[in-house]
Parts: sequence; structure tokens; C-alpha cells
Amino acid sequence: MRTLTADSEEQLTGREIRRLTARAAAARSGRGGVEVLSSVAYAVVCVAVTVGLVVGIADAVRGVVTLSSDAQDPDVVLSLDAVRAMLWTVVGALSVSLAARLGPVGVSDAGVRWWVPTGVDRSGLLVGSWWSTLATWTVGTSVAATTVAGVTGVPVTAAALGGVALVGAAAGALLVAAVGVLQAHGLARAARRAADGLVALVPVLGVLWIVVVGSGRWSGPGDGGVAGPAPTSGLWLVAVVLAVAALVVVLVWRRSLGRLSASVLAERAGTAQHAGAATLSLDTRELARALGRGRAERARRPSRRLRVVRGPRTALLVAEALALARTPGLLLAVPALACSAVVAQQVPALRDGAGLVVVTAVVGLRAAQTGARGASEADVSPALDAMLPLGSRTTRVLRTVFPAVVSGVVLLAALAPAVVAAGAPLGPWVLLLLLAGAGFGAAAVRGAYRRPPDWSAPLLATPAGALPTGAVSSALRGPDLALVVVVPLAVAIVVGAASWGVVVAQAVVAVGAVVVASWVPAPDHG
Amino acid sequence: MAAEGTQPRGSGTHPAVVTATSLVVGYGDVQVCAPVDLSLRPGQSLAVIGSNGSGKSTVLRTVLGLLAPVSGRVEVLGRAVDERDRRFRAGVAGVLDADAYFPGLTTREHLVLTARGFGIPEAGRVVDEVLEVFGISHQSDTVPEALSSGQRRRLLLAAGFVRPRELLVLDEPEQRLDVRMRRDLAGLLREETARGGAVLYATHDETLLRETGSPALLVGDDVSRLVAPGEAADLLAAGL
Repeated sequence: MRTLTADSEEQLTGREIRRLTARAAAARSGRGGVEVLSSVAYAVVCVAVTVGLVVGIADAVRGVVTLSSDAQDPDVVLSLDAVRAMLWTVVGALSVSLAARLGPVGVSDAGVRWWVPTGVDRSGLLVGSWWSTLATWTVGTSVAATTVAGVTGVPVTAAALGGVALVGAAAGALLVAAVGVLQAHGLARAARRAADGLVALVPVLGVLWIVVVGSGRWSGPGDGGVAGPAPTSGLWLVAVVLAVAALVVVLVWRRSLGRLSASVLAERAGTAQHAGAATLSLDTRELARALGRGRAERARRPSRRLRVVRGPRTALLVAEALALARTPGLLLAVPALACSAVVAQQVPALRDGAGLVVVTAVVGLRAAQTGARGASEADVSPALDAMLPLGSRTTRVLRTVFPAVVSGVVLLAALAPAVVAAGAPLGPWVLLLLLAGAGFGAAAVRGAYRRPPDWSAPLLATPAGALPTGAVSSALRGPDLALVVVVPLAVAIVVGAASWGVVVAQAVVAVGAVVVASWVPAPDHG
Repeated sequence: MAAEGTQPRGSGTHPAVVTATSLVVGYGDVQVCAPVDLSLRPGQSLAVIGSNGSGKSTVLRTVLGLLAPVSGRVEVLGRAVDERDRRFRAGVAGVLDADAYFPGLTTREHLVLTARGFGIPEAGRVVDEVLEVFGISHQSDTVPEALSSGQRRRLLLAAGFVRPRELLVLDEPEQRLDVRMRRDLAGLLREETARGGAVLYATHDETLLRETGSPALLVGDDVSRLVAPGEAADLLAAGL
């Protein structure tokens, strides 16, 4: 084999190798200009339909929220303005967290394997991803900020919503660019941890505010759930300041693309590919796994809890406890969920009735899903369940214990203050909430063990692309059971009293939910 | 004592291509094997051997700059390792086990663009020669997904040979190859060192080790040490 020497005249740039790859792939796929145009038109229609749906839903929510906030409620401490500010903060933190998880810039797995090690300039290789990421975050954050403003009572005027949209766009660009700069310096994980912490901290701060201000019986302007003056004044100035800051950071980010290391790009490629496949499959469970990649540390200290193992049942429970203890975000997620429910009750529409039922169901199920880490891991590695001499049904029942406990604790923390404030007898409510937690735990286990969508079956053409038949029903497995579980609790919330009859009904439903969740379908043989 | 590769004619006068001093490799701050010392000069080859999980691939990934050392020092081509440096990438070819391809590109297009990414003149002709050597010229217009597992492995290895290099790093190159291709690969590695290139490779294959005549760096939890060529092959034959 001959000795090879490079000629700088022959050297491709990063931009060229990217374009040649895309051109060759397009030529092989047989897609001409007409197909590309029709795809663009299709995407525009899909976006328009989605925006229409969001606007419609936002309008409906807005109607409920603003209507119910017209009446002054002495128990409401947080104003709608405060809730809006908290939601904006959470949107910003989530956008940072997502950007840090997805890179924010990178290339595909194949790009990492083939083009990153070549002599092409890394900056040119990544600039396409840089543009698309910047555009996605600018538009996405703008839409999210405007939606939050719309549902929380900002007047629907061009000036108000336009100002919010601009602030959201500039903030999105600024945040993603900042994460991009951190990524280039290998610090994206720190940004992700900080953002996750902020998401958890916001509801906790909200509760602290409620406790401090509420106990002082302070009542200032804008309190009592009534929307304060529309935050339109100064919005344009804020937008301009943020846009200038964003421009500077975006330029720094652009210049730092060449600093990105192959190991950072490889990690990002794996996460992005995993998340993309999960999104296309509407597989929320897989999406959570994708976005949680790289979270676990590689080395652990041996646990002394293993001493308490006396048989397969305790072995499974201890394994569950270890899995939870080694989930770094759990200690943040549990109080954050409970506090979110308390803060949500500051919105008059969510204080009671159907609004509170929705809050309870969402928080209860989410808490159970957070606690169902063992079941989730066991689904990925069936060998974990097969290792112990336990039947599948028993295994699933045991795996329901921790999700049930976590959900029950969160529900108690979320609703107990309201129960105490109402002067209702605590006993039946505590039992009711713990039993509902058990039901939500079963729903979470049912969801954790659901089968993935079957891509070998005929596919359905949808506005989101081809989807396997049964993808939606697969995604709803788990939440469907939660809908049943919440019924007795909903009756108690709507009526405003937890009678012993409702408690018994909740017990029956919880037992039924555990039976359903522990049912193991026969394996497919065809 | 630092592990040293085979000693071809006059190689002792050349500066080392790879130098590792008290190099501790691992993930984060978790060490996976005993500290490594090695020196590899132009025209030398060195195998890295050890049981599964002993840290062979981790050593190679650290030399390639894909992992930061836990402690110690590693230099490639006279500089601290930084795979972002174009000069590093121009001189160091690494073939690991990453099995990823562009679904829209053929086997030949993968290699031609790789060669052009390094500024190789007449890239098409070079690639055709390499495809022939690796026995996949008949699959040149096939997309990699349609190749067999062994053919895809050949394609990955071919990517290391369509570009200029001073150091070739291979992670268990014998994986998924048939006996004949393994023998041909040993010949290619001998040819590589004969023309002055340096080769660092991890292997479990006793035959590959015997045919290249490489000494080996035995990595393990307690000690990492240099092993003479015959002894290294015997260790592999005995299951280490």
C-alpha cells in the first residue's frame, strides 16, 4: 500500500464535506426540487395547525384562569403576575436544561465516526447545526413565553404579545448561546445541573413566599389572584437589551465551535439520536431515558443496605431503594412536585373542583413515575427481573411499593395544607391520598413495563410523519390507569369531603389498579 | 520500565510517536487499570493485551484524545494530546468499534470523502486500491447497512488506510474478520511499520500478535508491564 501525503489544495472544508454528504444522500433518496418544496409546504401546514391548536387551548385556559381570578380570594397569596414570572423562569430553565442535554450543537453518530476525526475544520462541520439550534431555540422560547403570557392574563394586543414574543426570542437565543459556549468548554453538564436545580427551586420558592407572606397577612396590590397591570411597559426596552446581549454571546458561541472536542460531540450525538428516535415513535418513556443519559456516575460505594436482604422479595425492594437513592434528581424532584401542586392552587381556577383534580392527577402520576425507577430499568434489562426466583406478577407488585410511597407522600404534602386550612378531618383524607398514591404507583409500573411501539407493523401516515400503529395507545398505557385511579379522589375533591365510602372506593380502585398493572401479557409467538 | 514497541532499523534515533508516563486512565476520576508507561517510535508496533474490562480500549481512547487522563502524562507526536488540533488529526488514525454510517452514502463515498477530508490527491484511485486490499471492492457502491458485519468491519479498517498517518491506533481490529483477513491485516501492520509508521493496537488474537511480532503492554488492575512478543502470544493462548 502506498504512502499517502496530503495536499492542502485538495483538502475539503467542514462546510464542503457536510454539503457533499447531504447532496449525495439527497441524490440517492431520489428527492428532487418538487419533493423538497412539497415537504416544506407540508411542514408549514403542520406548524400552522399546531400553532392554531396551541392558540385555541391557550385561549380556553386563559378564559378559565382570568374569569376565576376576577374574584378576590383572601387565601390566594401569589398574584397571577407572580405565577407568570415563575412560569417564565421555569420555561427558561427548561430551555437551558434541554439545550445542555442535546448539545446544543453537534453532528450525527456517523458524523462523529467519519468526519470529526478528519482534517476538516470543525467549525465548518458544525455551523449547520449551530444555525438550526439557534433558530429552534429562538422560535421555541418565543412561542413558549407568549403562550405563558397568553394563558396568564396578559392583554391580547399586538403590542403586549409582540413585546413578550421578542423578549422570549432574545432570551432563548441568549440562553442557548450561553449553553453553547459552556459546551465548548466542557461545562454543559454544569449548566444542566444548575437549570434542573432552578426548575426544582422555583416552586419551592413559591411555597416559601406563600408561607412568609401568607403568615404575615400581607396583602398588597396585585394580590389575591387578580392579574396585575399588564407587563407591557418596558418590554420593548428589555427585548432590545436582551437582543444585544444575545448577539454578543451568539457571536462568541460561533467562534467557539472549533473548540468542541470529539468526546463531547460523541456524547451529544448519542443523546440526540436516542431522543430523536423516541420522539418520532411518540415513546415518552424512551425520551426520558434519552434525556437522562450520562446522568449516572460510573462508580458507586458499596451499600450497607444489602445486609438486610433475606430473600428474593427483600432483595428486590433493596434494589429498588438503591436505584432510587442513586437517582441524583430524586431528592429535588419530590419536594418540587409537591410544591408545584401547592403553587398551582394559588391560581383560583386550580384551587378546587376540576382544576384541582387535574393538578392532583398530574402530580400524583408524575411522582409515581419518578419513584418507578426500578421498573423502568427492569424493562430495559429484563434479565434483572429474571435473576430472582419470583413470578412476574409478584415482581411487578413489589416494584409498585416505592412509586406508591413517593406518590402518596407527594399527594399528602400537596393537599394536606388545603385540608387543614378547610378544617376537614385529617384521617380520611390521609388514607384517601395514600390509597390514591398506591393507585398512581400501579399506573406508573404499568407504564414502565409497556411494550415499545412495533415498527414492523404497518405504519400510519400522520402530520408528524409515519408512526407505528398502536404508538398512541402504547404512550397512554399507564396514564389510562391513572384516569381510573383518580375518580374516587376527584369525587372527594369536588364534593369537598372525604367520606369513608369514598375511602373504601379508593381502596378498591387501588387494589384493582395493582392487579391490572401486575398482569403480564402472554409473549407474542408470531 | 516503560513499554517499548518493536525495534526496527534505526528507530531508536527518532523521537517517540507516543510517550505515556505514569498514565492513569479511566472515566472521570475512576481509574480502570494500573498506571501505564509506554514509548512508541516510528517503525514500531505495540500490542495492548489484557482480559475483558482490563482497560485496553480506555488506554487507546486516552491516546486518541477521546478521554482525558485521570493523571499522568501522554504525548503524541511530541505534544500533549489534543484531538482538536488539526496536526494531531492529520497524523493519528484511530479505528475503534464505532459502527455508525451515513445511510445515504455508499461504501466508496464514505472512504472518498474521508480521503478528501485529509486532502489526499486522486482520492478515488487511492480508495479503489484500499477497497481491493480489504476485499470489499465489489461492495463499493453498496450502502454500509447492506454489508455483512465482517464487511462493515473491513470498511471501518479501510478508513484508517485511506489517509496519511504517522500513528495507527486500532482497537481489537481482528473482531468479526475471517482467518484470511486477519492474516492479511497482520501483513498490513507489518508493512505499516516497515515504511516507518507506528502502530498501537489492542488485541485478543494470538495469531495476529505472533504474525506482527509485536511486544505487548499487559494492562491489569495491579500492574501494567511490557511483555516480550513470544510471551505475549503465549499469555493470550493461555487466556492471560
